[in-house]
Amino acid sequence: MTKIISEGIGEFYHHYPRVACVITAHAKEKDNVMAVAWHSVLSMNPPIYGVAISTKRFTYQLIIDSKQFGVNFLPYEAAELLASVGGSTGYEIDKFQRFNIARDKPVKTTVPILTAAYAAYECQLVDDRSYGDHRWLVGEIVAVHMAKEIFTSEETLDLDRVSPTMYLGGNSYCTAAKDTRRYLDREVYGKR
Amino acid sequence: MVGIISEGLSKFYQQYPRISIVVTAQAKGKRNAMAVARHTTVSTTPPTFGVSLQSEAFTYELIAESKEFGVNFLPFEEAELVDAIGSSKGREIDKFQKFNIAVDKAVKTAVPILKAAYAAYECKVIDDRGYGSFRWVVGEVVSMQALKECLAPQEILDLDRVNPLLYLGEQHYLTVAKETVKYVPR
Repeated sequence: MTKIISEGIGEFYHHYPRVACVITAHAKEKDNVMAVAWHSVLSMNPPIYGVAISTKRFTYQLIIDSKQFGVNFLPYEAAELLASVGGSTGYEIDKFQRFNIARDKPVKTTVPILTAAYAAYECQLVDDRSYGDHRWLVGEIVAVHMAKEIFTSEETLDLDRVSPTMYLGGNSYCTAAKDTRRYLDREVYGKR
Repeated sequence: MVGIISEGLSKFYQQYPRISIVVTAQAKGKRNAMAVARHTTVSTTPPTFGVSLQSEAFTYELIAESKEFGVNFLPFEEAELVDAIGSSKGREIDKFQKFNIAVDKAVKTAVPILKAAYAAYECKVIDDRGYGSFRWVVGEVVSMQALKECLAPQEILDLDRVNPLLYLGEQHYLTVAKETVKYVPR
């Protein structure tokens, strides 16, 4: 197989698809919501989450003002909502009103929690740094919301009950193929 | 959301499935590979990529020494190899030898690039810090390799040509439902 090798970098979507999440924030009577594909857990104890956000975003300003952010996971059926919140700016409109977004109450912060989410984290900002054209915002997860019935006893997603939204890049969305799920026992494969 | 609210610890699989990558490194005549699900781009200009690693991982030791790491994307068909890499210890065995892993030459670094990968990045470390119990290692992507036939226009993956490997947690692997791909213009 011939691989193309490049040093000039384009969009670089090789590491997709990624779960598309919705980041929320509230400050000075304003709320906003944005779509983010660059995010990861960074530690379990304490639980810490990181998201990469451009400084141009209205949500970034709200997070800097409030030192809090929410991470919301929406099902594949909500891909159009994700595209809507990702394709509009909070500087110009109130996205909650415009897209009729229902919300639940947060418990430890003031961030909006989306009713449509199957899980959400409330985060307190603990770090904010730059690696280039995005800010890397890191928060301690102070509360977890989850629709318990869509998770298995191992706390993984029950794909018979929920289809996560995954972003492939280039405005394309997809979900996981539950029929392809395989359990690979560490005891077997690590010692083969 | 009809939800439960937990302030206690959980396994944090709510954010899965995630692409399972293989992170590689080489230093002092030793090499290793590990499976990692926690990673993301953190900037496109310059192109940077971050990975979350256990500080006691042998691969982390090699990265800290060499200041370089490789990021390899393997297809779903290689799930068993990725699980074997993730389930064994580089301090005890040479995984490349044990699992018969074919390697391509890197271009800008000395990191092993897996032949079975449909894409791979070579990274030079620009940051290495602790968040809680893990290291967050960020590298500038100095070279990129990809199988041209696996990429569709706009450089997104062509799911007719490649099945990306997703990890759901607790040793469950799966891939993407390509028939669900929909284009939703902003």
